[in-house]
Amino acid sequence: MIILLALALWSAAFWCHECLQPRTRAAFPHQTQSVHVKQIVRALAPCVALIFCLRLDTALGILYWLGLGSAAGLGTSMLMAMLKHKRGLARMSKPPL
Amino acid sequence: MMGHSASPDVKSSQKRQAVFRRLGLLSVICCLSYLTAHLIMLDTQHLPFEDIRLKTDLGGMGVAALLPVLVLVGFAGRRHMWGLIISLTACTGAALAGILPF
Amino acid sequence: MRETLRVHMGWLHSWVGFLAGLVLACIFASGTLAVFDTEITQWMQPEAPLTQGTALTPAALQAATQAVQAEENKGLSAFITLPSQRDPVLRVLHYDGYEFIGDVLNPETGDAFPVRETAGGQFFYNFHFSLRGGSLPGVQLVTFLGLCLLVAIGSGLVIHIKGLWPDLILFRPFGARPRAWVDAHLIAGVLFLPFILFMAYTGTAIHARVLLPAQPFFPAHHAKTHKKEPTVPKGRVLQAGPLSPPLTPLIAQARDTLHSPDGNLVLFTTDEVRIFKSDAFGPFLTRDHVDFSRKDGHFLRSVTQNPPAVKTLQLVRGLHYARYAPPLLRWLYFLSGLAGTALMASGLIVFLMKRRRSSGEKLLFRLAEALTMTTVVGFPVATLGLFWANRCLPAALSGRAFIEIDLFFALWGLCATHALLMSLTRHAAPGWRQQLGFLAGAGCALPLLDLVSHSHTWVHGATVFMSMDALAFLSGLIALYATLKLRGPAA
Repeated sequence: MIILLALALWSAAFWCHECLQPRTRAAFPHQTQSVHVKQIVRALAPCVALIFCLRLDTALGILYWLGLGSAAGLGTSMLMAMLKHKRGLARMSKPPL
Repeated sequence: MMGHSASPDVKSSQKRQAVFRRLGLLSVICCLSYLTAHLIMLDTQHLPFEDIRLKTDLGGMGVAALLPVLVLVGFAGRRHMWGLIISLTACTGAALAGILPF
Repeated sequence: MRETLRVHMGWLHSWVGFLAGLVLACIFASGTLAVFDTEITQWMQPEAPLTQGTALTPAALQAATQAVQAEENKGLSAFITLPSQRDPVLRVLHYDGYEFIGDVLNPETGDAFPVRETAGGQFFYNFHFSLRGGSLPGVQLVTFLGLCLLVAIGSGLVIHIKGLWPDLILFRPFGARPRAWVDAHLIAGVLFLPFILFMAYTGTAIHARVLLPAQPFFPAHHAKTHKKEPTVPKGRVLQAGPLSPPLTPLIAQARDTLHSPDGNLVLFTTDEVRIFKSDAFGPFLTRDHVDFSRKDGHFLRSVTQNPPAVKTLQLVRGLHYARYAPPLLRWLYFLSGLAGTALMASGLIVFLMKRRRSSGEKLLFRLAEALTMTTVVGFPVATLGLFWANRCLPAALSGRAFIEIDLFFALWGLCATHALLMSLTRHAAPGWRQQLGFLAGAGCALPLLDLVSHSHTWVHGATVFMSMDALAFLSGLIALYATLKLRGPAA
C-alpha cells in the first residue's frame, strides 16, 4: 500500500512538472492559481514519498524511492505522450534530427 | 567564419583535421589519466591497513570515480589547454604523493 | 561548424558510446537477467520442487557432507548452500571454471533430485562480469567498458544539461522516428540515471584492481623476485579432508553468532568447516564466518569485519550484487536494468540514424549496422535459444550444460553472420525484420514449449515458471510490434 502511495506521489510530481512546461501549457491550459498548486505538488510530493519509503524500510528506503521515482516517471511520460497524441499534439515539438 | 564560402573539399578536410585533433587530445588525456590512476593505486599501498586486498580495493574505488572525471575534464578543457594542464597537475600530484613522505 | 563544448563532447559521447555500447548492451542485459539468477536456475531445473517451509534435517545434511566428500575425492572443491526462502533446496556446488553447478538435494530426506544438468542463471552472471573470458581478458575488458560507460554518461550529461530539467519526462513516440528514438534514449538515461550511474560506478570499482594493478610497471632492480609457489586451480582441491562432523549443531551455533537465520554457505577446507553469513540480510555483502574443526567440530574462531573502510566496500558490493533485495526491490533492479539496456540499444540506433545519410552507407557504416543488429536482436535471440535448448535437449544428456552454452554462442554467431550478410549486401532492413520476426516467434512460443514439455508441475513455484514464461512472451510481443512497425513507412 505504501509502495503504491509513493508511486502515486511520484507520478503526481512528474505530471505537475510536465504540465508546468511551456510546451504543455498550450495543450493543457490552466489558471494562475493552479500553477502555484502544481509547483507545490512538484516540490512536496517526492519528499512525502521519501518519508513513506523510509518508514517502510529505513535501510533500503532510499533505493525504493529512487526505483519508484524512475518507474513513475516512465509511466507518466508514456501516459502524457498518449494523451497528447489523442489531442493531436504529438507533433507539436522540436523538429527531428 | 569561412563556413559559407568554403568548398565541400575544404570543409571535409577541416572536418577530418578536427577529428584528428580530437583523437590526439583524447589519446594524450587517456594516457595521462591512466598513469595518474596507476600512481594513485600505488599510493593506496601506503594506507594504514594490514590487508593488501583492502588497500587495493579502496584504491579501485577511488580510481573508478577519478579516471572518468579526469578524462572528461581533460577532454572538455580545450581553451588555453586547461584540460591538459589539469591532467598534468593531477598526474604530478599523484607522483609526488608517492615520493614525498607524508 | 563551430567547435562548441556541446559539439566537442557530443563527438566523445557518440563514439565512446557506440563502440563501447555494442558490448555494454549485452553486459547490461545479462546483468539484468542475473538479478534473477536463482529463479532462472529454478526454471532451468524444473525437476527440483520448490516446496516452501520444508525443515532441514540432520539426515539431509549428512547426505550433503557425503556428497561434498565424494566431490573432493574427484579433486573438486565443493560447498553446501543451505535452503532459504528464495531457494528452498539444499545444493552441493562446485566451480566448473565458469559457473557454480552441482547436485540438488531434498532438504528433508537428503535424496538427490534427478535434475537436468544446466548452467542456469549462473551463466548470465558469469557473462555479465567476464563475458565468459575469465579474469584476463574478460573481467579486464568489462571493467574497461565500465569506465567507458562512465565517460559516456558524463559527456551525455554535458550535452543534455540544458534540456535535463524541462525535458525530464518528454517522450514523443508518435513523432518522427529519429525524434522518438532520441527521446527513448534520453528518457531511459535521465529517469534511470541514478541507477545506471551507480551500477556503472560500483561495477567498475569492484574490479578496478584487475585493470590497474597495484604493482609498479617498472619494478626496482633491488626488489626481491619471489619464487611463485604452485597454487591449486580455482575450484579444485589437492586432497580430500575427513568426513565432517554432524553439521546441525555447528550451523545452529554459527547462525546464532552471525545473526543469520537461514540460507548460509558451508565451505570445507582440509582441516576446517567454515559457515558463512547469508547475503540475504542487509545490503552489506559480508564474508563473516564462523570456523569449526573438521575433525571433531569444535569451535575455532569467528571472523567478522567491521571497520568503516571494510563496511564501505561491503556496501558497494552488496548494492551492486543485490543479493539482499526483497522481491519488490529485485523487480525495481530488473526494471532499471532493462532501462539501462534500452538506453544503450537506443543509443546505438540513434548513432546509425544520424549517420545513415551522411555516410552514404559505405562499408564501415554497413558493418556498424550489422554489429548493432547482432547486439540488439542477436543477443536476445541467443538468450531465448538457451531457454529453448534447456527444454528441448534430452534431460539425461551428459555434458548438457556446455551443450546449452555452445548452442547459445552458435545461435548468436548465426545471427551475426546473418546480420553481416544482409547488411553488407545492402539488405539491412529485411535483415532487421527477419531477426525480429525470429525473436518474436521464439519469445511468444516459449511458454507453449514450457507447457507441452511437461517438465514440472504447476503446484509449487508456479510464480517462477509463470513469470519467466510471461517475460519471454512479452519480449516476443515487443519484437513482433517492432517487426510490424518496420514494415510500415518511416514516420
